[in-house]
Amino acid sequence: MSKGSFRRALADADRNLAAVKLSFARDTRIRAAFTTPRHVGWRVPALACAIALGVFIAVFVLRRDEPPLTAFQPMPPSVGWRAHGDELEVVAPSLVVDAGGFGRITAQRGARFVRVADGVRVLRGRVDFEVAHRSAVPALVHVSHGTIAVLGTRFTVDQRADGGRVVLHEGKIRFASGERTVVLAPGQSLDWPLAPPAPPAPPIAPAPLPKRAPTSAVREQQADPEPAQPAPPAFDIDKLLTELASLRARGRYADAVTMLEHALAEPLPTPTLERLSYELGAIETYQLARTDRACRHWRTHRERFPQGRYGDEIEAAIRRLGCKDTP
Amino acid sequence: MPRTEAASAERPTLEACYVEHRALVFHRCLRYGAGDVAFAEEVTQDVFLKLMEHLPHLRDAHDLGGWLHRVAANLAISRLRREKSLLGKLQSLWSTSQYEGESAHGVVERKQIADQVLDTLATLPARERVVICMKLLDGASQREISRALELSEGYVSKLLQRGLRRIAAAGWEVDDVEG
Repeated sequence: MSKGSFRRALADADRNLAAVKLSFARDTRIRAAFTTPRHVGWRVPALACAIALGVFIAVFVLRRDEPPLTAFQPMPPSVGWRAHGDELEVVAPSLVVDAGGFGRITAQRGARFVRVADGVRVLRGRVDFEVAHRSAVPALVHVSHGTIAVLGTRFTVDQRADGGRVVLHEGKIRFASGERTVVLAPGQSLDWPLAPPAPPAPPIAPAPLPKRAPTSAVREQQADPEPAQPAPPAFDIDKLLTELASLRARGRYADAVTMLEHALAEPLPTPTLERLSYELGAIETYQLARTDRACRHWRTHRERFPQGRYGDEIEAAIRRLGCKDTP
Repeated sequence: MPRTEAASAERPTLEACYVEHRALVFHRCLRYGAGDVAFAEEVTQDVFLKLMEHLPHLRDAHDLGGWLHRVAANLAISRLRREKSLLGKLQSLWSTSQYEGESAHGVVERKQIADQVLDTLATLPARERVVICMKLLDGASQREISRALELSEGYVSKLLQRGLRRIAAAGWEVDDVEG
């Protein structure tokens, strides 16, 4: 059924629409818009926010690893240091310094260091570094015989008059001295000046049989045409250290501890055992942060190696852990 | 197409333009909105905000009525399309300002036939609706419509034919409309 002419019906409806007036409220709102700042909608503020967010991410997230280098700021303010020009000399038992854009420095009494454009120069004494993570441009620590390049890590520098030593606790550092470069893994240490490079190895000769004190039985066997029984395989310390570095790099610190505990039960030379024991304690202290186990280990370590080579490092670890019952 | 000449040779003020043209602009927006008062008010406001932005640079200020008509038609099409989109429907769910004011259906409630014609108009797609209104109510030629909407004459003709077919399918007679 037809509804009639659309044109006529539309014209009638349009006459009714002509009677509808713009509401007073809307009329007022439109007039007000003429005198107030132009309505910009949501797109402009949204775009501005997006740009601001992008700038924020670029500046503070993507490049947070390269903050500007600023002057030293001892914290808290103390009289524990003395200035020699730009150099700081620590006169307190220890001094914590906030090196803006670099990280935190804990220097022991007698340490002397100075801020330089690309990092810090250690002139003497023992200094612990906690360098903020950097992904591109490494921070540099200059010492007497080279430069340590750092991409976020913790390590200790001990600078003496004739040389020095660095012990790496976490992360990775690269020590450069002249043409030579050495990369350290956690737990490793390096002394400088570096030893001269080893001469080229002689041509490989057939491996000699294990030397043993000749016994009567052996003498008897020497006359025997039967071949000697092979000696039990020696403990491969190089393989262990390689495996240890691999576990640390993968963050498998508990496995590293287990491996070291097994190794410490082996009949190894005392210096090797001391080194492995130190590695174990360092992992417990710095990576696993198991205070009780670490304190117990350092106590055992000191009893086992009273004249040990890692006295200063262990002292720092114990201080960090706050061990109560460790002498 | 009816035109409104500016009151003086000099560029009129925004307030003067608004007072002179608001009723006509609102009426046209009511048509394009098929009697939706809230829609018409929103588009009217947008039209005059556009005018505020463009008035200092408007070259054909003497043909302000024509300019406002073109802007109103295009803004109405944009808004109708936006409201028809999924996003527009979602926005309408939590928008409280969209449907304030008196309903045109309330004004014309005694005229059932007017309700029906507006309902039919409301079923047309945005461009077809505006083209039909310009053709049937303003008496505009296809050339004038194509200029106002910046479309080709051929496309306007196609929109017109398509719209009339839909109207006829809804039970209306369209024989008196020239194609």
